[in-house]
Amino acid sequence: MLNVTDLNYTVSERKILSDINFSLQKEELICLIGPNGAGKSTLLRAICGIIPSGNSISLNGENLNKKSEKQRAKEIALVSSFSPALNGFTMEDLLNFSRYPYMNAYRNLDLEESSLKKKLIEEFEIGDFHKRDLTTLSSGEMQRILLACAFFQEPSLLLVDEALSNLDPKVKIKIHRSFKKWISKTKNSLIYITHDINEALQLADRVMVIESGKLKLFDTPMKLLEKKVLDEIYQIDFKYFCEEDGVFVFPKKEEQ
Amino acid sequence: MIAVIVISLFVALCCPFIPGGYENEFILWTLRIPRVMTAFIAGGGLALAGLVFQALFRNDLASPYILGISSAGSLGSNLAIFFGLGHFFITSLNFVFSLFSVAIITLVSKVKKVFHPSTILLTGVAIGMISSSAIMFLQVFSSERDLMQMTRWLMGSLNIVGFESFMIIAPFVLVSLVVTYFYAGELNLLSVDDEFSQTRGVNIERTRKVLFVIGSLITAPIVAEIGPIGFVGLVIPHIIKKFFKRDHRQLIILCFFSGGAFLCLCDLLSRLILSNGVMPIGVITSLIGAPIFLSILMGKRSYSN
Repeated sequence: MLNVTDLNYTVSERKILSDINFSLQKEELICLIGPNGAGKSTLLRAICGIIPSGNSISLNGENLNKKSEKQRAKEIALVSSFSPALNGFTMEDLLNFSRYPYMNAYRNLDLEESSLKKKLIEEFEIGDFHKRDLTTLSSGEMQRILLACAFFQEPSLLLVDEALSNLDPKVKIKIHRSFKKWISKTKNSLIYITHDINEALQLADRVMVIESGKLKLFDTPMKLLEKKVLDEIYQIDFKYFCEEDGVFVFPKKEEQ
Repeated sequence: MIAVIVISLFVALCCPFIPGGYENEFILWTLRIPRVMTAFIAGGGLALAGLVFQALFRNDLASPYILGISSAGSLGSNLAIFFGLGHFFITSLNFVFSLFSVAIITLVSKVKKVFHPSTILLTGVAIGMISSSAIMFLQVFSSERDLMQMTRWLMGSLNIVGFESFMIIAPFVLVSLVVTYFYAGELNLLSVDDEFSQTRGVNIERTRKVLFVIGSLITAPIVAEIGPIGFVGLVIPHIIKKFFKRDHRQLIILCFFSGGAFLCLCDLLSRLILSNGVMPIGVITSLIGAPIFLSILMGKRSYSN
């Protein structure tokens, strides 16, 4: 569904992304990992059109550059960990604003949209924040609202940029389930940036590794472990533990 | 929302008849009604421009005058007064200078290759400072009579005769009101965050340019006709946002009507307060607006709580 061909992005003569090539199938959950500053967030921003990508990206066979901003927003949603100016806004405001690509100046949410909104409020357990000023919420609560907003956009490709980092384990597992359910129900795909390698190993259909703006690996989690890519990109030694429910990795303790 | 509109219109309709009612039809139709209509459209326009700029810059301090438009316009008017030119030149030079400041801001953004809020704001502040200094420079070399006229002009005035000022301001404000309403969704998103807006499908560069031009085109004719009347553009959007849902589809209408009613009331007070003359309206808007604003700012009640 998503094709990225020879994607390059340069800022002040510094190459942030360099010759990125990959294809994404339908119904796939991709975890994107890599060191800080590797270009992971930049790649997601290029895919959703925030930064220029030339003619390198196509979605469902159509060049992304040829789509209008609204059309793109109907197909791709991004959840990122940012701190917006939220003073005075409520959770409902953000949810309503997220339907912008489908709205015009004089239309309100129809019945179908309202029931989807209600479902998302229940699923992400954000009903308690109803009418509360968003500045009074914790970062984890805010992340749940932003996730609900992205789902309310009804995209065919969801991009999640470290947006689960402030959630407690229970909520995190619930959101993982929501991701899986959404993918199998809608046949859509999701790219998720995380620094938690074990989370990536458990969750992903395929893992994408980026280092210094270059695509290092795009394969199954097992291949990632076989090729010992992690030790190479993070430049530390990892210990591997095989358990019944999968393989886990931890950084080796440094010798004193 | 309907209640606010009805009260605003009621205030505006009552204002021409105080004091004196129908006693003198000539005064009513030549002075009072044009004056109140101009006050309403100018107040509504200033509040609307304030709302647009506050969303555009995501800055609660933004007002129609933040971009130096009014200072540049005032410089134009003061130049006309300095050279002894008539009323036509005082207003037309004001308008030309206001648009000139808009052109400078656009040019700076073009050179910087990005239409970023902080670039626009800083350029506007610089224009404002240059204009204020130039006005003071003119005042140093002015005669006492000109100096008096300049100071009086800078206070803002609704001392108008006939519908001329209304006919100049109204088309700009009403067209901008309609265009702004169609940008309500974009204003909602822009007031949250740039990236949030972009990922929802807003072309932020283009939208910012359009809204910036709209805000400027509302402000320029108002300043040219009635002078730089402060506080309406800052206070009214704040008060409305404090009590109503932050949806610009409602805020735009509410700000326009309550801004209009507020300036009508201030004008009424400016006529009543002195028994032998008219107090400059700029004095009244700040004297009344500031305490109301502070009390609301300190109060706990707000829509989101």
